[in-house]
Amino acid sequence: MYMSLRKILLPFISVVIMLSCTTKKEVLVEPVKDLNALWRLQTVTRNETDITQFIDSAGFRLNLSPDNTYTLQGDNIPFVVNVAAGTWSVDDPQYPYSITFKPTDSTNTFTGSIATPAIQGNRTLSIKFSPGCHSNAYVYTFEKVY
Amino acid sequence: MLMYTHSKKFTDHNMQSSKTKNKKPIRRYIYLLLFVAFAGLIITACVSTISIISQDAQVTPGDSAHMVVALQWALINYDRTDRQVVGICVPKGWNAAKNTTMTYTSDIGDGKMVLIPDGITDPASGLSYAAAMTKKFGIGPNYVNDMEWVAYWSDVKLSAANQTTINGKIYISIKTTSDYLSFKPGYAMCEDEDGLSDANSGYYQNIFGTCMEVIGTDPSIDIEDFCNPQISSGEPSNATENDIITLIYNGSLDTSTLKNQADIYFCGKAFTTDNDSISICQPSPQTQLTPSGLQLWRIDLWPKKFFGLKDGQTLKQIQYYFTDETGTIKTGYGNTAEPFKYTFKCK
Repeated sequence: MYMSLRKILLPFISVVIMLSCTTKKEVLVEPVKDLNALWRLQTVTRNETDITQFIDSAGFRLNLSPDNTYTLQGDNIPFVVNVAAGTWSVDDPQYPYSITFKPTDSTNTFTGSIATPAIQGNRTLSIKFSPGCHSNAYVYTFEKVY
Repeated sequence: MLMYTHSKKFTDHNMQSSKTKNKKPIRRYIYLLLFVAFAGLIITACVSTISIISQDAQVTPGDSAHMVVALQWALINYDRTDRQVVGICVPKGWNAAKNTTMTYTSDIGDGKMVLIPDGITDPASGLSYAAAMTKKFGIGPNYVNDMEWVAYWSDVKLSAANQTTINGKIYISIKTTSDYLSFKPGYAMCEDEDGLSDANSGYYQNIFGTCMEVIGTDPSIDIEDFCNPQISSGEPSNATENDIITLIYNGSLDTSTLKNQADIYFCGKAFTTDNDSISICQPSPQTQLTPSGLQLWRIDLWPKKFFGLKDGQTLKQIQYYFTDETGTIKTGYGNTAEPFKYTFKCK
């Protein structure tokens, strides 16, 4: 009796112990960066110098819609694209490095490199581009209006 | 915090035993000794100095400009194995990162200085070395903010023994462009372990040289003078009509009474490459200058929109004056009737 119990119980306990040791792999998935928003300008730099206070950027609004259309308002400063409406896309929704704009009624596309750091819990959007001479780089940093 | 915890524990313990009372000064003494030894190690690790040995005074546009600087690296507290970092501040239009060769000779070996790769940061600020130097040293005594710092470091880590002073020379050669300009080159040095740290003086040093003239013989080419103050200057030096350009008015150099006016305006004419011209000379919020310092004003404009250019139109030059609201006081180049000029180019 004792032997048979040992024969049954020992394997059973072993299996239970082995099962209890099974590790569960946690897969961390990088969230898709939600860029769909109405954005307003926070800062503008030209060649790493902040020129925000000297330019007319207060009314600048970039609206990126979930249907991948965009609109621009108050664009009194050069941007990646200066046509008021069209479509937009990013190269990778999880790790976006560039944003491309295609104006309505145009076959040309315009691309800027982007960063999407979260500052104090809020997603910001920085777009770097050279609209004029290639030696000049501008970084427009946006914050969400809503 | 650690010391506080210890002393509090000791206070509690003190009530129980008088024997431990004597340990208090001993412990404090040990902490003090440790602190002094540790602080000494950090504070007086090395002292860096830089000086200019030679620098071309005149260079023909398109030729190479040469500079030689001396570095000294004094090791005070312990042996070091670091890369030596050298930055140069030159006109942005030169694209120095692509057009510079730099070598070094020293007591502990000779070699090449190589461009610091992207992603390497100054340990003191977390910025790239070039950005950290820009932030710390700016453009020095130059008057046109169209210069950039470009940072190099020794191709290998250099080992030096404690209590030694290492002397070295940096040989710099930069291929210039066809632009006519004059400026005061900047130089900076540190090593890559401390970077541009302000923890104590001596971790880094910078210096600006005398005026270098890169001017040819064609009198029709405008000279961009970074060395001497101008009533007006334009930035950046390379731009198209689709950039934001800054036109600066330095009232302290203007002999007219314009600088005493409450509001100052831009009045100018843009010349297109298809030989058209567009005038904008009306006082308005768009043409009004913004104060930017003591007797300094500026206007930042996007020429394409400002002058209402049609699609495909490109600009070659803007000729301009600064005026008061009525237009009766008008300041031009060198306080003459000639306009200031901003020429569009992109190299």
